Amino acid sequence: MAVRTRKARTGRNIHRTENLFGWLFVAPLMTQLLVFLLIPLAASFVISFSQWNLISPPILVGLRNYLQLFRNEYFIKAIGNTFFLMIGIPIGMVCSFLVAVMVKHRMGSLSDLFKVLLYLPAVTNGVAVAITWKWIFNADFGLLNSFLGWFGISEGPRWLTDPLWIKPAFILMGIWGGLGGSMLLFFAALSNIPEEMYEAAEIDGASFFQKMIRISVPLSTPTIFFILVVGVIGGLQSFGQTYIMAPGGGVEYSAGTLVYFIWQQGMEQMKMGYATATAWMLGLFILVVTILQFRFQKHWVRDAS
Amino acid sequence: MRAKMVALVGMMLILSMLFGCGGGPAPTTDGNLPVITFMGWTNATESKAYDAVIKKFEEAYRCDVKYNKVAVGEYRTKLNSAMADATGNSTPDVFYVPAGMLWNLIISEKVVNLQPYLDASDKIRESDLWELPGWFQYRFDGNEIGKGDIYAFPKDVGPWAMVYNKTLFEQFGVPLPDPDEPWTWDDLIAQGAKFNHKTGTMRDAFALAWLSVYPTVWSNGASFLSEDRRTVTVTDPKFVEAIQFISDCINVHNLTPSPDESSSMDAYTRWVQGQVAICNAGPWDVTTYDKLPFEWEYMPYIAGPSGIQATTVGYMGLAVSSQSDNKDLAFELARYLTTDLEAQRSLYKAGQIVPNVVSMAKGEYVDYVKNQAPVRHRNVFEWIRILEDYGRPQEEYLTFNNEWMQPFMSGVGMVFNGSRTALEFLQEVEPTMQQKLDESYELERTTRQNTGWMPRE
Repeated sequence: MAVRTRKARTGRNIHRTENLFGWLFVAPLMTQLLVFLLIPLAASFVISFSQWNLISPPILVGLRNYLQLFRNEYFIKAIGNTFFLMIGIPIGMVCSFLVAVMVKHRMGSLSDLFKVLLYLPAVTNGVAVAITWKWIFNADFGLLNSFLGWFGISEGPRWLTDPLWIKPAFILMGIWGGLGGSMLLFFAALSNIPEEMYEAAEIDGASFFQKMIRISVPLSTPTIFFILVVGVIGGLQSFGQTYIMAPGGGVEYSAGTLVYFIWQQGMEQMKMGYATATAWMLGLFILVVTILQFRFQKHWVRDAS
Repeated sequence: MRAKMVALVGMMLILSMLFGCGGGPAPTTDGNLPVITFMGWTNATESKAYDAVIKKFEEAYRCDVKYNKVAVGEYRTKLNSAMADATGNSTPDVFYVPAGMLWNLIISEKVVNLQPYLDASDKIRESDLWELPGWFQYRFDGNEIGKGDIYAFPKDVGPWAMVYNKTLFEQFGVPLPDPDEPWTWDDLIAQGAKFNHKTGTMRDAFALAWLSVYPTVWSNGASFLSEDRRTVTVTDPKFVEAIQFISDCINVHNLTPSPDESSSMDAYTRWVQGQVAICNAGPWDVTTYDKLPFEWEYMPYIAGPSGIQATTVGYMGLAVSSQSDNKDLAFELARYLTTDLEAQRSLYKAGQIVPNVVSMAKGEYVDYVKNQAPVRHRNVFEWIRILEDYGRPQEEYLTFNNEWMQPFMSGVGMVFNGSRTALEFLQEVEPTMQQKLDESYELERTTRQNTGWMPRE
């Protein structure tokens, strides 16, 4: 009896020690999560209902920040601009998919070099990229308008100073910047498709185009879905292009994005409550869009297995 | 066992050395000297000049000044973060107040009212300091900027002057501007056209770097706001005319680089490269300009059709934190940097300021630039004219915040690139500007209610 009790106690001690060690191991991560995520998240939620200039104590103002947001034409413009800029996501996906197909099928003998060149934008400093594109988009001496000149367009668009053209310019730049990363993912997805499927299709007389539409695309849908979700979340958070290439949000706020609007309200105007309310709205947009994407994915994403 | 002991002792020694480096109280530079922290942004030349002045202050007041130099782009964020620290430990004792931020800091009780210190000090003669260009922006009576007690000392008076490239004028055979008689808008169009020169398809000379909005609007007898700064007045015909004039100078008369031309090479760089005949300058630009490979000189600011001259003045102030533990010494540092004759002399000789002290600016400073400075300028008195006659603080810095300017700034580019007329744009933008201005006053009211700030009786 005494032996059994001692054994049971020893067993409990071992569990207790294991538990303790378990907690100790997760403690750093939990602390980090609490201090840098959960507490700031809760604090920002409270701040979003306040008027706070960082200098004086916050004043609770209820829903005023949220209600004012929808009366602010710059916020509305920022939503429009942010969603408009996301047009680049599907275009970029198509381009990177095609490039991945080309690289996979070694169309051209320099495929390794192509891979490196195409991936270069993904590892290039964002500021350097923006400054380079600023020159490319220059209306008078820029490469792009010089290129258009070869096709008889003597006076190309004022890419960065015309509200009509600044967003297409940013989209073009975004496609170029994202091409390498997406191409790599598509390349991996295409490489995972068993060769037998293509061979079987060839025996049935399928053309290259048919193989791509019937095999490559459907079997890459998990990757397409992943790129889409990540791209939309990233797109909703775009900031750098506007900050560097269109200070103030561009002519008529034509390039002001939601995150740029948040930055302006918080850091320039010191309206922290208002900025935080906008950030929560942005979080809500991201949540809704992501839920919708997951809800509809079952209709078009093929199970990888 | 012995090996283990040696390893343990060795490890303890290494650990004690490692922790010894980072732990414990930081050594003080000098026993019991009081420490004052000072935060500002600066450039390399200015930094050197200020280091020297601060060293003299440390010697004179037996203290240690910790000068925290922050990059311009980061300054506001750093200051805001420091202010948000409720303990006050991060707030510097003395700091630059960016233009337009003072009102907020005053009613949030973050800066000291310097008036009582000033009244008690025998080291400042208020009557010998520039009022409108300098002190005006840092006075607040509880209702408006420009009246009442002083809350910051002007770092410098920051006149914005017009300068011309003498070499380029002579090269194009354009008569040099008269040092006493300003060009009018008509002169600008007539004389400026002579600089419209191309090599192939590329413009290689321009009359003007840019035509600043405030001076042009003011010189036409208009302004952004009504006298009480409660109403936006941008649809006033004189205002509209001024903005249209700027647009015409760019698009019709081709006097300045267009927004597109500026995006390939900004107007300042064109000036530096000698492609622009007339540009603007602040006192801090002088040392750089003096190194340019052409001769330049000051000219009177271009006058509007009715002969009014105007330009902007004011830059930033030096305030004392209400959380400072040593307000008396902090006040002395702010005073020393902005009004002490020896300090002002060092700073103007370093090419950074026009002195804040009127008698010094009109006397030894003008003499120095005319006769002794490494590069001498005959028309240096133009700085004084600006400070005495026609310099004004920017209107956006005299309201609680400047958000009401955003709709104007973000849309006026369409007028300047010729896509819209000034009237069309200003009629559209005025209601939004007014709404933002009203909101700023409402924000001021609620902030004040929250802090309970009251002006001194």
